[in-house]
Amino acid sequence: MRVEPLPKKHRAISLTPLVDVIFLLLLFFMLSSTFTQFGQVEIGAPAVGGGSEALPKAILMVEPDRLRLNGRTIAQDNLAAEVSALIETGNDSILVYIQGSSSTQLLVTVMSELKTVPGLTVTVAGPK
Amino acid sequence: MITLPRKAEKRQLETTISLINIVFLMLIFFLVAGQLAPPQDGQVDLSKSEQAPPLPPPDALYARSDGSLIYRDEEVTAEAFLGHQTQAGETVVRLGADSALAADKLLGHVGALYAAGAHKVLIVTRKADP
Repeated sequence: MRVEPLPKKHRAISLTPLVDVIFLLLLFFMLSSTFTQFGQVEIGAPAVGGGSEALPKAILMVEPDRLRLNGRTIAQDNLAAEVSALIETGNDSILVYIQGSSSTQLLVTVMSELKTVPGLTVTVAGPK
Repeated sequence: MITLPRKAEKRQLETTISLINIVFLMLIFFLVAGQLAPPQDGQVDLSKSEQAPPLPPPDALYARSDGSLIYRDEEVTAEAFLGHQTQAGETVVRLGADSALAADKLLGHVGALYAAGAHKVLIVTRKADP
């Protein structure tokens, strides 16, 4: 008597290990990736006492509540425009003197604002 | 010949497949949209800037608002950090300073880093939408 072989049954692949691995990958990438956009602001070497460098031609005092450019109080929004006006009169280097109680945020704001002015040399100094 | 009625096959796979689908899509999303980030200090709230040039997620030295320097979750000094960096041939220091850090402490750190041999010190900021 001839016996027909049983038709091969296609077993569905178990999806559990696949899900397992994908889930682990997902967790890894979710936890280790960042969506924060970072920026950079350069702070030059602080002026060394000795007087070999050229003297800055303008001074910007950064105080916690106001900015003073060459002794005159200016609004923060006008900073770039005021400094550009200074450059047109040949004052192309500026010393940023920051008071100790000011925050890093203020310094970063001022520095990135000054960075937008072309042809300006910026030196940072603070109380020691 | 007698034919016996077959039991209807159980179909339970559907839910698993849709689950996998979603999880897979999320995986692809995070793969494509995210950037792998070196460890960041949880206590440091970076200062915001709008115009600063972009920077990939940095392996930065962090300065907390109380003035301590943290690198990879360990407190370091500027000299020790620079000693470690120069061995790796890297003299550009990326300093992630807390936005509330007093400016004299920040300048103190920057001065110490330059004195220890740093070539360039960059303050890491968080880009905010203008």
